[in-house]
Amino acid sequence: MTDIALLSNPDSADSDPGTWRRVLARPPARLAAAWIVLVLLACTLGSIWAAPRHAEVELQAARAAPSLGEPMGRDLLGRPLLPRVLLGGLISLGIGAWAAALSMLLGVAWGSVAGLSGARVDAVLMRVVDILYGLPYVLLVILLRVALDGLLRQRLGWGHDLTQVTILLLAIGGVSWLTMARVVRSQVLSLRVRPFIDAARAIGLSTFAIWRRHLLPNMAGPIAVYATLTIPQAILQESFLSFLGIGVQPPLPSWGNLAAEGVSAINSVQSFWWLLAFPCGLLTLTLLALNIVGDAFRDVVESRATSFRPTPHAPPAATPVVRRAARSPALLEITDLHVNIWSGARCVEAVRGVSLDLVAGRTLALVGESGCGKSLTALSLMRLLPENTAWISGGRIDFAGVDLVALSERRMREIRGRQIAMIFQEPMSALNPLMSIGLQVAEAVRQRNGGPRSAALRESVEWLREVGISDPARRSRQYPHELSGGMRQRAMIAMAIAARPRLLIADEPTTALDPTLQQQVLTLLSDLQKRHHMALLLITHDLGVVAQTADDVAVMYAGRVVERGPVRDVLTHPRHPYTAALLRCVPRLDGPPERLATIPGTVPAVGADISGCRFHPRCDRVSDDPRCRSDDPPEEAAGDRHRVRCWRADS
Amino acid sequence: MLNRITRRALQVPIVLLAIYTVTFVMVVSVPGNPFQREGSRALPPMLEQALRQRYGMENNWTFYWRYLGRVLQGDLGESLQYDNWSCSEIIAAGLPVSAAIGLAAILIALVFGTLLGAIAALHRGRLVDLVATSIAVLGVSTPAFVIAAVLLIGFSVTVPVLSAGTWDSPLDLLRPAVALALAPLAYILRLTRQSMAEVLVSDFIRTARAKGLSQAAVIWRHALRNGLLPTLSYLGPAAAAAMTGSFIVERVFNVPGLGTHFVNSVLNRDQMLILATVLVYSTMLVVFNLLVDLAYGLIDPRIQSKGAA
Repeated sequence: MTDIALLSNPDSADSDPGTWRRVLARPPARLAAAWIVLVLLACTLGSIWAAPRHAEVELQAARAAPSLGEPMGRDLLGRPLLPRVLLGGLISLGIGAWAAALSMLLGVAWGSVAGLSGARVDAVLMRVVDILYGLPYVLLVILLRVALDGLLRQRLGWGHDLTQVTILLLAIGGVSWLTMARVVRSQVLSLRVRPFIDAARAIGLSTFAIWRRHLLPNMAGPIAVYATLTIPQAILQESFLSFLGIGVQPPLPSWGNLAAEGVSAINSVQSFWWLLAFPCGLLTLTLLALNIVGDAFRDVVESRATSFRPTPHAPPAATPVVRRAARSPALLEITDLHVNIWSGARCVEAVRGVSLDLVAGRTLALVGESGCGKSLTALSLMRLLPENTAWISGGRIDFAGVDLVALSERRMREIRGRQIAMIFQEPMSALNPLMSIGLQVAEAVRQRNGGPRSAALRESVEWLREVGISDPARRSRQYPHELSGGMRQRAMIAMAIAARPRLLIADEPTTALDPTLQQQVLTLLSDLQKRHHMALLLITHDLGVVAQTADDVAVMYAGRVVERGPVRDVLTHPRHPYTAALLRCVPRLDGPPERLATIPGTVPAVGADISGCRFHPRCDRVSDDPRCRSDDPPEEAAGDRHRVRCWRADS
Repeated sequence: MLNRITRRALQVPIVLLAIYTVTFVMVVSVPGNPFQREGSRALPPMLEQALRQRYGMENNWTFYWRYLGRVLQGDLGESLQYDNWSCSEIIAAGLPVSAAIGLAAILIALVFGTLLGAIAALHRGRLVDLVATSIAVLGVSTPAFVIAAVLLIGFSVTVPVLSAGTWDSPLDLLRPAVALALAPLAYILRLTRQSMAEVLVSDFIRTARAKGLSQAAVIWRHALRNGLLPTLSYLGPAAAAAMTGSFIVERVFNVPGLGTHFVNSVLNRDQMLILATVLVYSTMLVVFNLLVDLAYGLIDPRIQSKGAA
């Protein structure tokens, strides 16, 4: 089934006016934008005044220093520099802007035609781009300029100055479109397989109409991002060419050829700093301003998904914790753990006071739908919450009598791997692609005994054998991409247990595997747990797995543990309506066939504002009891070690 | 592995032939030719015909094949502008100088670019990051002739040994190299910062930290190698461009390098010299890309198996 939302054109959010507002919200970008506007205004308006004055040669006044009358001094021929710099700016920036526009146009056209045509046309067009890439860039520009010169100079009746400027911008624009063509082509190729393009084709739109109405708006973002790079680049090219004497020809000024005059004056005995400083300074500052605005723009467009914010250094006041009465037998005891995360611009509480305990050598399953805070809880145990986006904001994590929350990073490193190890969901991305499996396991071995690398490598082969990898000596020399999914997860497990931890955390270790492998990996995990006397914290959303492997279970919903206790009690006599609902969703083979139940509604978004019990909007027991909607239920005993958070646990 | 590199190496002559052909077409379609002189200095048609015959350029067709034949025998032809100079001699004089400066520039850019980029990524949002990103934006914004002029004036005054326009001590290499290094340095810095920032939040870094590895081990053994991959692919074209000379930097420092010939050969319609310089540049580009490919295969095991498949 295709989601209807996929069939509609998602359009680009990059063209919305908010983007520029957010760019200009940054002080450096605002300053840079102000500079650009100022320079543009000065050069355009100033040029009206400057145009008739810029070529007034006055040889007696040659190289006059800046003064009140001539604020930028005079050049080698005694021409006043100020009008030349203003007009030169207009010419430099004008050529840059138009050349950039031309290069965008060519790039979009070439890339779109390549992307929308068949494989053969595409191959030819892109091979042309490849070959042009293989030629020296400046050589291409000069060749094109010389060619255009021969073609156009005689035919255009525009006068010398306008013609040479036009030729120059055509040459720069005509060469700098190559990267744009590649960007656009890859955009078109990735967009054209999207369902909304199929939908548009199905209603009979022509290819051009699809391109204009559906592809172009969706490419606006990358094109705009690329434009911010192209404009300063084109201005830079113009200045290079003019500096070399093959761009704008004197007496017509441009910042490039003015700079060249300045440089040629360096070798003299006297310093004529103004000849160099004004054109070079203005050019550099303007390019800097354009790049600063461009950087800010790219940042805003690209950071939509991943906003970066520093973590507040002092965590929000932790909730006071009641001292533990006596030393409990638990290896791990979590008390009232709170975790905050950044969600967009808001700081929200994702784990809201979780309490758990786990006895050495036993298995605790943490269950719940995705997004309820299971993984954040597990990462808190390792103190590996994603930096700058999530942090522990309160509570205690007592592990073997030590509060991990208060531990220094250096002491915590001694706990990680050697005391608490973790297996992650996605073995492909969790393994380093550039390092052999054996070396990665050996790293864990050396964490334990610190021996020589060769000994650790030999031992790592034994650990690979221990987790049931056949031909472990050969496998240890292989890289993650050479292993199958099941084998990768076994290697991951070997890595986790190689340092002989006392507690093993497995975060949905079978989610990424296909069903036949899931069973094998689970059996392996419980085997290893018994053989090596580890405590196991198993995170899962599969109640079948819980029943099969765990001693205790904790059910999480929207950042809280709503029910916990021995597996037998909780699964046979669930007291919380959420646990009961989850159980109804498990297909049974022994009962009469029936329609599989689902829980209406979805898990509330992290940080959603819900009063009372966080489950009440989806609860089938929510009733006349007003407390369900107004007050958060406390955790209450519901049997031996069985606890539940529900106002109507008894019904 | 051998397979992949061999296959790529076998493509080199085809790529170079394509580049030669495209350049040739452009060179002969540009209006004007080396035998044209202005006004009264125009050559009599007989003489022009004789000259064309001497250089094997009676028409474009014979020119294309004859020149190709000479190149295959290791002869890059004669310069049409500089009498009595062969293209090979001109290039042999300029290339070592340009290559020395270019190599120095690329090394400077590589060392400082990756170092600053990695440090910036490790301390995102801090002062070091701000300094590094400022260097990057300055580096892409400052035209080469501006930085060259600053170095020229600044050091000629303060360090008299480095006076302007001399070219006889190895120290003279330093300033052009720094001027040439700035732009690739800024680019490498950005690439490294970006890719390191992505690598540092990836799952396998979390795994490495979950093992209890020290910060240094996580960065050196796991993050850096992955984070430097994008820089590696940029290095091929950057090295080829830097080592075949920059017109700008060479002009400001009066360096007798190869860069100037790129510009002058086109302006003078010195067709054989254009073809010769382009072939030298393209060969270096293709060879460097091949080396980068080779290095990629050594660093990233995923490439090898893709090639073998």
